[in-house]
Amino acid sequence: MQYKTDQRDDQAIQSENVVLDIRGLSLEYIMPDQNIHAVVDLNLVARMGKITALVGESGSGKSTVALAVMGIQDKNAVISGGEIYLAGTDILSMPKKYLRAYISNHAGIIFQDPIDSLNPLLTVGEQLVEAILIHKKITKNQARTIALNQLLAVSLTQPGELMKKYPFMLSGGMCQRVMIAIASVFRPPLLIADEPTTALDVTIQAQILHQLDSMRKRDGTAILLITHDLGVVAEIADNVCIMKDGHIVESGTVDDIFYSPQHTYTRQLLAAAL
Amino acid sequence: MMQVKTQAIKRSNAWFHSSDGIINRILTQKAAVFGFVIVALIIIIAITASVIAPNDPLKVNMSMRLKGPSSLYWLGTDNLGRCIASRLIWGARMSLIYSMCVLGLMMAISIPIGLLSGYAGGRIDTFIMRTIDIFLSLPTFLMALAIAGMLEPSVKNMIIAMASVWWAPYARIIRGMAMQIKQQDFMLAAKAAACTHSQIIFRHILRNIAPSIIVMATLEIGSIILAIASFSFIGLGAQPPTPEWGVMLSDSKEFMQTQPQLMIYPGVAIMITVMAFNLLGEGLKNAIQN
Amino acid sequence: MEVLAETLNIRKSYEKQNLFTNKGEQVSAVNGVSLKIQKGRSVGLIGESGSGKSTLGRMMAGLETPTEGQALFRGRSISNISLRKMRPLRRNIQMIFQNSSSVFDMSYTVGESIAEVIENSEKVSKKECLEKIETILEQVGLDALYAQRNPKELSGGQRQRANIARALVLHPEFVVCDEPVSSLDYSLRKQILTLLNDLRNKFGLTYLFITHDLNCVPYVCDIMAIMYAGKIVEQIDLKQNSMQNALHPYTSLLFSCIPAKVPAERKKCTMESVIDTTVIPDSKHCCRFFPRCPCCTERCINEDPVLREVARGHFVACHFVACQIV
Repeated sequence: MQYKTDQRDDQAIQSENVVLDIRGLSLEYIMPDQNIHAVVDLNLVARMGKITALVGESGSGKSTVALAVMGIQDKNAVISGGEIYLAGTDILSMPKKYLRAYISNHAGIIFQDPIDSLNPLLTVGEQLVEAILIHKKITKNQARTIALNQLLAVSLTQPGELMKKYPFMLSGGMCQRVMIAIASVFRPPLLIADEPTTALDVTIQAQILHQLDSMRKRDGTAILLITHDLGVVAEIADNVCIMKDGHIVESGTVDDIFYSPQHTYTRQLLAAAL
Repeated sequence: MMQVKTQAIKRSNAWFHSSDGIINRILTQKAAVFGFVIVALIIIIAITASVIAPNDPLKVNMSMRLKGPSSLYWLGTDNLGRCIASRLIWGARMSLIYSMCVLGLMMAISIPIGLLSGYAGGRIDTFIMRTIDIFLSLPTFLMALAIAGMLEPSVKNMIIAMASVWWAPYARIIRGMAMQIKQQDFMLAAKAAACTHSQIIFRHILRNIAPSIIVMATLEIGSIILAIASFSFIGLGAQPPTPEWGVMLSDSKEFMQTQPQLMIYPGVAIMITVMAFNLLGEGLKNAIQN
Repeated sequence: MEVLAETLNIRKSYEKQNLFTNKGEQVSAVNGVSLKIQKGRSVGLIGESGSGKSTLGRMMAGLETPTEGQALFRGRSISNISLRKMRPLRRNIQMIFQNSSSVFDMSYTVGESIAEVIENSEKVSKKECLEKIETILEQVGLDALYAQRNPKELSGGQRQRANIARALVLHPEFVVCDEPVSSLDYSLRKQILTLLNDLRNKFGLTYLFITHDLNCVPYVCDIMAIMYAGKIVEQIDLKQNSMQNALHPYTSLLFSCIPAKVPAERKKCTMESVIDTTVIPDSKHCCRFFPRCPCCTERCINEDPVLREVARGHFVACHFVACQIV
């Protein structure tokens, strides 16, 4: 069931291939003694075919933003303000019954530890087919064909054999590719990658980053890349937002941030590079 | 989020360094609090039995048999004219003492064996595990009955019989926990810190599995009390005229139809005690696991 | 220069069940490594996951027994000796672990964990012990008050400093650092590496610095050793050669995969599709890198290359490189 968007004539939402537009987002954790402001008045835009990097240390709140966009934040995390426009519609004011379907059709997410993200008791094939069948009412065989093609699309050879394997039989890099396959099976306009290569070796990291890069070139996916590694940012990002303690302290193109950083914190981060 | 984490962590320190943490977590569970209160009451009753019991639990008075509740006999008298209330109160003491003895003996056997097996590994572990397998393949209750039956029926023999069979499942669980701890990185660090084997076992492994052992013990007391009552019921444990709840049940089985209260009182006492220990044990388990 | 720690053709292998044929095969995590570490010349051991570097590090620290060969410390074997005989050596051989949160026993405070190390090796009074703890905590950049804290309360960076304090409190001669900065935030890495370097100079330590990040090497290492599939494939003395002169194809691959420092240095990456990484069993004699090597020759598939000196202080185990030099 299609949810009708509220037809506002706000330019920024409709134009310029904006896939994700976060405006003034504030999120608090409700704790027994006091509330913790994890995200404060955050503004962020992710565009089609571009990689936007959200950079910050641990504790800055960057992963919280990702979870909020996907609607899977903690139970005691309350969004106290702002709007999240995903493909033109504010998901924070959408009725709950349409929310899950809308988000899963328009966004996918991959996490840091690929082996933990997959169900250890199901084969890769079963998990991929399950993800496909949730989205579309097709037969299992049709789903299987799509799954095989999807595995090829993420550069995994011998997909037939791979479908029968369990996650523990695969290396970290292959698991991460399977995760990318599952998250992007129906080409969502937005892919959120929460520290996708932190747990991986440097050669595998290079391959995964290349994979993400070719996805955005081929399908025009907007990628929100969350990381604390400026090397990864320098390697593939187009736009960068620097986050500290729940605030965005600086944002701009990757050249702006690396060659003319304005904020002290950005300069500190750049100076701390090895 | 860093502040979130540090603040959340401040409230849940290692329980050895701030017992408020664990007590706080127990207090938030109503059922556990209820269990704790009842257990505390039972322990107090058991300790002060000689003071609070209105009458001598062993004193037979045939002229006062099967009387109803009165100010002198709070719950009336049984078929031999003994004060039921006093017998229940003393029974609390008996049950607690016997079950603690069984528990103590069981743990004294299973903890060292489990730790040794889990830590040493290799052939020692295999040998101990096969022994445990043998014990586990026998029906524990019947085994205990058989042993108690072979020896002269008395409380001491019952305790020995139960502990000598019931230690096996615990040794296996403790072995599993020890093996799990052994995998962790801080074991390597302890080796790097030049710890001897016994230091590693006592300072690190035992200390880390102690909370789980306490939880297991608390949850087990209920079963032990029931088992003791069952043994006494069939005459293999405490012998009459000991004021033990199982014995009271046994004594009153002829009067089940005519004077059901004689069975109901000790039955309810057992039920409340077992339930209280189980609730407390569950509460501890939840508090420690979270 | 005195040889501090050494391995003699050390090997650690295990039985791997081939999942398809159900046959057991011997596969080595460390496949015959002879590494010499001289006093004052820290060695950086670089490799990816599965290369065996952590296993080698643990064997050289005496925390794991090799299947074959030995690890020596000052000429004495530390590989198959009992815990009791190993104890007095512990004050000279220490290890800094990777995962700072799992390496502390959470039921003790930081101070108690450090005190354990001190008391096991030295007879000191309580007062002296506390003084030592305070001193080392200050030297690693932590306030002395942290001694009373539980490790759970510390942030990642602080915990790693506490980890370093624990390892270095007795001023050991030889320290194996197993990926000490890998689990830390990017911005903390430089601080911790600088700290490790300062302490190295202050206490006269020798490190075996295990990492997968080539960028860490210049901070603390004098010699760089690259490890692949259980063998050392290249070794460069950084005082006499530059890292950039690396010759082995695997080292070149590692260098090419390091992310750019600034956007202008972005590579037009032409990554090949995922390589099948099935582990090659010991029984097969070949260069373990051959499935991924662009310079693979006939000889590489049939013969194991050995480490050969190709320049002063520069050793490479590669048939292709050996041909080029000759």
